[in-house]
Amino acid sequence: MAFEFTPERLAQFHELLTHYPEEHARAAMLPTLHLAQEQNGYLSQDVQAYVAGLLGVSEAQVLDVVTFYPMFFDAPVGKHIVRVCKTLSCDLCGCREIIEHIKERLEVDFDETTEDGSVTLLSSECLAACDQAPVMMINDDLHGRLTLERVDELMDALE
Amino acid sequence: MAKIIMDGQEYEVSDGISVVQAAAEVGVTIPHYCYHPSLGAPANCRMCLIELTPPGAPGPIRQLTTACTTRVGDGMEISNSAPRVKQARATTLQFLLAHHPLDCPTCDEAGECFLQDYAYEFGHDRSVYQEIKNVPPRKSLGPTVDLFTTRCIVCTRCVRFTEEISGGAEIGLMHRGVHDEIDVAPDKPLDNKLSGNVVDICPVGALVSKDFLYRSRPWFLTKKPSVCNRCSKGCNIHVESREGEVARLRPRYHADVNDFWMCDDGRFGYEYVNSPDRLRLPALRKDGELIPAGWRELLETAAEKIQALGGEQTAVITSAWMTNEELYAVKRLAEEGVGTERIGLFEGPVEDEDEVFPKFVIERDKNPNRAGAELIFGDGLKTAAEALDGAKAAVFFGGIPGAPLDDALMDRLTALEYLLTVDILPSALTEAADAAAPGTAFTEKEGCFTNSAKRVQRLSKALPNLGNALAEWQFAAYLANALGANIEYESAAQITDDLASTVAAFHGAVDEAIDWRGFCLEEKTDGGEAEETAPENWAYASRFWR
Repeated sequence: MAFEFTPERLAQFHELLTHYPEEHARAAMLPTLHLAQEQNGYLSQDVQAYVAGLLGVSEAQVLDVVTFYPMFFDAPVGKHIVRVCKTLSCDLCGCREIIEHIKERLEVDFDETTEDGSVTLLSSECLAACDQAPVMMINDDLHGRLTLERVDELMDALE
Repeated sequence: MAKIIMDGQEYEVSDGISVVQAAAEVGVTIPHYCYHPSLGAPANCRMCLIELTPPGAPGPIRQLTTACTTRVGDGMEISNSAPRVKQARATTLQFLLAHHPLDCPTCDEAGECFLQDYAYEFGHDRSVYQEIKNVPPRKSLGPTVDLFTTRCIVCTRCVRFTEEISGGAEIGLMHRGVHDEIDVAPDKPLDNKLSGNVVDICPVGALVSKDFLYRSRPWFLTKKPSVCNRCSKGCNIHVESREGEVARLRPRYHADVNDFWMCDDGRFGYEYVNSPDRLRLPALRKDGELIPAGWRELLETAAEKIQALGGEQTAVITSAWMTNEELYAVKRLAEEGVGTERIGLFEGPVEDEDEVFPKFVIERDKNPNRAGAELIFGDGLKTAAEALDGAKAAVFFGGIPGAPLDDALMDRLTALEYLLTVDILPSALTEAADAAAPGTAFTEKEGCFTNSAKRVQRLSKALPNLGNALAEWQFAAYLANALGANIEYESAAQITDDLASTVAAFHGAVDEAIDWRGFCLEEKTDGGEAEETAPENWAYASRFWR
């Protein structure tokens, strides 16, 4: 079945449009895609076509945005998204060990999803919290000053 | 007009235009890739950096500025050659070439590539880039265009073309940073009637025409200015040929007609010109079969037959695909040679509506010279069917490939006692004729078409006549003379002048007055010289449009 917003989300979308000038519906692309990803989990071709139709833009213009931003997914992902920072500050503060630990524990590499479909592991270039390095982000929550114990605690809470 | 100083020299240029265009106006090249005067300027290629001193400022501003987004103003000072300008450009080129495969020996664009030219003129001879190059695969964007992804410098001209000119926005810039590449959405190929233009605007060899790919190196092509024959718009084109064949057609800039563009119907619609089936020899029906014959024999028997059946009973069918000059010669043939009022117009299809894109229109009338025919023949012009009604013989000028010869017209023509055809490809009609003469395709013609806006535009003879074929105007004159007239033309240009002096609508449109921008019949009759449209774009086109 082709993708469609639920009535509640459609109402949210129409409210969103009022934030932008009428002739620039394209400006509402980012929040609309977030809304769609919230409902569908990821942005399939189907969903992208639906959003393109809503905003009156071409599918290429939607794909353009979807492929640009790392927080949009164009393929199915796990229930939880875990992003681990691997850039300078975190590396200096020992993120390699943490990354190894998470990979072993979940039995996945970066950009992979656990077999049960619960977690997708991603690497990240800076989560903008160098003062708390090493850091990771689980879904929408940032976790800093990680230790292996703290990571295990957080992971246990996921399952 | 604005006075600017460039590299110490003072120039006067049109006010308010971009610095790239202003420099082109005075004959100076400012290198650029992403900028195109008919598309928005995102200033993303960084190749056109200049040193700018605004009017009244004590010295140049600290950062270099993009010439494409800077508008000229009175008193502005520009350096196109300061050491730091040169260095910036060379560095930019190194970045643009970082992931480029340098596969010029197998690249279609080599020889007309701005990356090659500017790298030679402004670049370094080596790169400090030591990492592994990205090698994204070549892909098909649609039925007419392929993308050699590795060669792309991501100028986004094609993206902007599909957004602004053709309107479908089929092309996007996917992914991010060093991985960004041009692509289309899945199942949404670049499939519109203007798709071929993205190949022309691509400054490098990334977007290539599937039709032209690997057909010829561009430096082997002979390029002649001409006019497209696929609709009444009359897009200005270049016919590029090699070894007697058309290799490709490309748009030629015209501010008032087609801007920098042409449609795919015209661009790829030339195949019939190269067809091996083209008629080459005059042929006469003997014992039921068409046998090649000499021109003299064909003209003499034709004149005999027409005289025997009676001039008034003979229809002369002319075609809306013929030039003004040919039409005028046919008019004289009908009036002075045959002596008939049965003059009919054979025409190609006319669609119900124009095809309208945001900034381009493909006209509905698929005949390049209906306006010319109507002006030259005036009220005496009938439809082919009307002219043939009750006729016993006909001289039929065709020349429209795949023309819609409906059954009723076909029955009328084959029922004639004598039928002489002048055509370029064999058809059911030429097979049924008593005499079949070979004619010329538009790439072989000299003369002019009159487009729907009454602009007389010149074709040039890009290819020689095939076999023994005669230009239609010449054939018409010979046949008229065989019938007792006295028409002496040595060139198409003579007919242009004759036409200008005898047909009021063409007053002033003498050969000398028709330059490569055409001659607008309506503007001139309004009196006075028309003001030139977009002179800065003409300057740009002559410098940067290949």
